[in-house]
Amino acid sequence: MRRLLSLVAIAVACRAAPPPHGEILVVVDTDAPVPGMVSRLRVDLFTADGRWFESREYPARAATDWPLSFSVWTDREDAPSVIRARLRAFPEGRTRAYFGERFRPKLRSPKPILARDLATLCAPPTIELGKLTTLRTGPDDFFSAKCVEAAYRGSAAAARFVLDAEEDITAGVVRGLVGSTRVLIRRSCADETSTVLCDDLPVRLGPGTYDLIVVAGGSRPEQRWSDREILVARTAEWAELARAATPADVQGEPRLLRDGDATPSLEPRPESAIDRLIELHIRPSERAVAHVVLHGACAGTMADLAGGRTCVEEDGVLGAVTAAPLDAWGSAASAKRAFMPPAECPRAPSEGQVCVPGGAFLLGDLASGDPDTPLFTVPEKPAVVEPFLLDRTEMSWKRLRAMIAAGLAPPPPPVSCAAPTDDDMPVTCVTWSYARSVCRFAGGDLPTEAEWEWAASATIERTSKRRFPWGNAPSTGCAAANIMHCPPEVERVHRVDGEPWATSDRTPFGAIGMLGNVREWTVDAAARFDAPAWRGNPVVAPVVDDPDAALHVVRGLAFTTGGTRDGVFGRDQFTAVYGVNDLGFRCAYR
Amino acid sequence: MRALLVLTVLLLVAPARADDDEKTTKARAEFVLGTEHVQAARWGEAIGAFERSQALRPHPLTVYNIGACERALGRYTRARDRLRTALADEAKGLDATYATEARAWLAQIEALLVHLSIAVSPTTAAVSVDGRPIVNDAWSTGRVAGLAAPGPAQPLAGAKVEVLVDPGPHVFVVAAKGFSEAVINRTFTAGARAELTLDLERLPARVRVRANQPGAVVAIDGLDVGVAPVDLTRPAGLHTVVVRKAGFVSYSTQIDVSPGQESNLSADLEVEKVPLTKRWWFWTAAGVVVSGAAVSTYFLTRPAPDRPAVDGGGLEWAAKVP
Repeated sequence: MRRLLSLVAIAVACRAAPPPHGEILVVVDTDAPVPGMVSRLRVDLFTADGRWFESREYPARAATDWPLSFSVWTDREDAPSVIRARLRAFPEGRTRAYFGERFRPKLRSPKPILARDLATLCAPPTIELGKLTTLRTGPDDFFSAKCVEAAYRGSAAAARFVLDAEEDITAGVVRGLVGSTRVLIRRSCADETSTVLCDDLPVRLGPGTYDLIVVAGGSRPEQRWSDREILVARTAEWAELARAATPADVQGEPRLLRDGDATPSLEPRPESAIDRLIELHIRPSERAVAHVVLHGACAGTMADLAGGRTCVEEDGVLGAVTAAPLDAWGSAASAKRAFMPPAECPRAPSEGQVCVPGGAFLLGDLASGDPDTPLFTVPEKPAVVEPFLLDRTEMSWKRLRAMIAAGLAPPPPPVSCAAPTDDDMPVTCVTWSYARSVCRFAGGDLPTEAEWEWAASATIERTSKRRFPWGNAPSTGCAAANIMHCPPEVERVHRVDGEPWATSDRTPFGAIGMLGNVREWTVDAAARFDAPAWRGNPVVAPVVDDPDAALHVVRGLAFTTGGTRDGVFGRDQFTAVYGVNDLGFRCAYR
Repeated sequence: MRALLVLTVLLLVAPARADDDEKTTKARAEFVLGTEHVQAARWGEAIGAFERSQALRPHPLTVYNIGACERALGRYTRARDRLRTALADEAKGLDATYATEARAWLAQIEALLVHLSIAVSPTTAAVSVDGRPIVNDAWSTGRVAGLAAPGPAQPLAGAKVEVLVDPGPHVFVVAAKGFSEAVINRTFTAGARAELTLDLERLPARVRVRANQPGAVVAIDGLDVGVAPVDLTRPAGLHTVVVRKAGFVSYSTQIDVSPGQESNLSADLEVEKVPLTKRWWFWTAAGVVVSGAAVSTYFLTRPAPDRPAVDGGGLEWAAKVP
């Protein structure tokens, strides 16, 4: 039987084999952790003239599922076929409704200048007409203006623009708190009598230099301390430019037309997807392999499909799409680049410290939080933190007193907090800046929000996160952590390493009390993940660094707070200049 | 008190001057109307008249009168606010007699008010008392009920807050997104210190599962719940969803649904690839090959072999360029 079959095979082989079809095997790999950052691959194929002709999506939840490979082929004999492939690696469930291409470049806004007085306000940067600009107002009420109908007082930010000829100009807030904002235009910022516009209505302006002033009113700190995206443009163009900056949710192009409209209803969310465009040149009767690595550094940098620009390996940087280099048929996959930071800390932890290994992960959580709270856990942000040392416990009075004896300034007397009953109690009722000065005295700093979340939620394998120090399942009552709903005799602040929680509320890397006991200050200024401050943040070591911010992020739960559903993913904010009895801190050392 | 109010009327009405404008005249008329209501103990109407007068021509005496009427109605948080406002503006023309009286009343009122400590869970829950939101007290660091105009409940901005309320019965309405609304009736005695814990129950979540294949069976947490599409209610939390159909690779996923959330799952079932040796026809076909050696002559004599098949890679997907 076998002999017979081999005879047939030889006979077939002896005939002149026809050439193969032109084909490229596309081998897609990623250096981002699976499944923490990516667990699905979406492939969309477009012809050279931009027609969308294929779309497929595959799950790839285990690291061993990668690389994935598929091929594109042609039976054309006369000329090479050129197609564009859009490859998106993304985490499962992070999709949004598809309403057509909604390209938005990653923000790379310079640090805004905060004005606290008229002199700073009136030396504003010059902006380009027709381009969206982010203006940040500070916490201080210092600017007053009298307009036609009302007097405005609040914090303010300004920008300068130049007109070469007489124009009809409109200025307005495109994104941000529109309701509590007033827009003024003056010929000279400090001169009230030079006001030419008292609200965001069109105005006819002659050639010259003008100062646009945004006044943020409102009584709540987040109304005053806020980012507003401003557009100053010719009135005829303003509405169109504003609409382009905030795409409406409408059915849009391109569409996948194949036996009717076969456009997928969902697409990966751009803020967490690694989005890559490649061009494939398929030569007639030739087979080749294209190796493509989707780099984690590109997570959150959306490809510009219409403009033919894509992120290759540098966060936020788009380059023109190029033809994928081709290897010989049968060649093996190229080596993966290291995107994950190392696990080992640069130095061994001292007494009372633990080593938190480096990690690449999605900061935030899709299933936590409440959209109505000031700080929502969505959208998630790809983030990388290098390994660092972290205090094993929250800062205790014993440690603080030792530092005060060594020369650290003692904390200002607390307003409404009782004196600590035990030296092992966590230090609470201190302001953000005092907490930071303690950490700096100790040779470190407060952890960034990304560092804190990674330290609290990383699994031992570093490929994913979990909601509680012990896993993903909530624990009943207060058995596992010192949080609200403990019986009254227990519902109070507890020693920083006190049992039983020192055993249960403990991360795999040994940090105690990240979930319960007291909430903890982080270095970051409070900002929503969809605010410009976060959208412009790099993937590596992101931080909203603003020591002057009125509100800073606090993480973790406390003996006074419930909300166990969100575990360590919940975000909260607190006024920087106050302390409270359920808010402490611990230090990080980089 | 009526005597005091009448006296006040005289003070305000008597010095009519030639340069009085129309506003002041109207304010006076409203004031007189207010005092008439007071004499008939029509406190509500009196407050209306005094408030109109105050809007036209503000005067601490008018504010004082409003406070006196509120006190008579037993609305102590409002009375306290008006009387303190009048005292704060004492320099603008509040006679010392009335100031002394106001201070005595305030001392009484402070002893009558109920100090309520409200704890809410979740902390984002919005609370209203008798259909009015709780607002910041202008005279202390706490909160106060009954001052704001009737309106929707507002979050307390804190897990535990101190609120001043009038003694007597009150209706508390607590609501939070993803939680069921709670309506609570409580009655407090004058001067009491009380605690109120408002814990809302979480709403269940809604889970919808669709499948790209007809007749696929959906199981949630190991329980078959029906043929896709299904639409059902489950408690919030983590659930395992499995969608299966013979001949297709089962779809399995975990969903974490928040209270009140609607979760839409769409299961894409892919055709299962059965190993060659497990297919029913394999051994039959093998037999056919063995017995039909003559078939080989076909291969030897056929006109031309096919081009090699395209590869398709690990995903077994070969896309043809149109």
